[in-house]
Amino acid sequence: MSGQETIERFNSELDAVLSGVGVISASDPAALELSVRLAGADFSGESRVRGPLRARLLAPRPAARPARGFHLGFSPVWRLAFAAAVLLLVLVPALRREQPAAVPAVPAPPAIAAVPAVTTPAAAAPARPPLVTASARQTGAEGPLFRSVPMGSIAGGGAGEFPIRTRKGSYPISTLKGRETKAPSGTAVTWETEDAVFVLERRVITPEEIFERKTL
Amino acid sequence: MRQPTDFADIYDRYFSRVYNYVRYRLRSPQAADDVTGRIFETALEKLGTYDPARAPVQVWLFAVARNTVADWFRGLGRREDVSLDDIAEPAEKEPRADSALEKKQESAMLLEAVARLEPRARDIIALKFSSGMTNRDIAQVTGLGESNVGVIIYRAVKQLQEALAEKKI
Repeated sequence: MSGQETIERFNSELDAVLSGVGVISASDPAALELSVRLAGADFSGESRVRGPLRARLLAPRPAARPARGFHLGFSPVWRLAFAAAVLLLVLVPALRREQPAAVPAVPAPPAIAAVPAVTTPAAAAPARPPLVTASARQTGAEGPLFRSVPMGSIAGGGAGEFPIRTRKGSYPISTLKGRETKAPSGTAVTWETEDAVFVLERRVITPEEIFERKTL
Repeated sequence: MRQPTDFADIYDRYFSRVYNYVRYRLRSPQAADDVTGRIFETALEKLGTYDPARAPVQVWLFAVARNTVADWFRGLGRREDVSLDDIAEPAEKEPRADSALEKKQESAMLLEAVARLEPRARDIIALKFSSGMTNRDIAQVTGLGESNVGVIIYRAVKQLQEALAEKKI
């Protein structure tokens, strides 16, 4: 008998014994006897959970509660919150459209009530014009912020206070020298101050020279 | 044979078999209680998914049992190989009658012999001698071939026979 046949016969005899049929002449009685011992061994008497586990698993369970999300999904609180959110989404764009064009928050330039004449130090000392720092709105001035000044009145040399303030400090820019010069567009006045040289000229300008045009 | 689909029926009919299977695999009675409890909890949880047309209930139940035992080993982060410490039986606290003591010794001897088998053979032997399943059913549960199951059973029984005969344990 080959090894495979021995195994097949043993297994068929084993199934017969385990099913209670019995075997008349076993090919390997000792192995079958051991198999019967293995199959007959019952360790379940050692279990301490058999009864309590059965009682626990078979105990009637409380009815399952609905899922929390499902429950809140239909509560009045959530419905109210949902309606408020929808209302907010609808109204915010509408309110933005109806809002009037906002005045730019850029502060108005200080009104120059009077551009002081550039005079010689000796002449300017006794009658130095006050600095104008108030805005046009504060002064209540109506009309244009700037007025035309004859070129000749600002021409000339000598130190004087230019009626603007620097970004850093509160002291005015002092002019050191002013002279009438020639510019491509005509007559101009060149002022030399402590920090820079300004050329003031009278000419016709276009908006493109002042503003940068951008296309949205 | 009538297939029980009622959980109480399944519990009463298969508790001993499942517990014996777990004892052959784990040896510790406390761990066996724990794992058996998990097996029947899982069975109760998944009973609604059981399809009697696909497999007998014992095939389904012992598939659950095998997975639960495997999860238990994974949870402990250990291999299934049993150390000698695991094999040691707890000391008796109360004197027992001779017959009960003999039965206890017989059980301990068998468990010790089975514990020395390699894990796959131990699993197959545990299934064969606790579940009452045929080799075909065991093949379905384990994914092995039916003839392979037969070979493993035969060799494992011979190994147990030799070990017990030589009183190695």
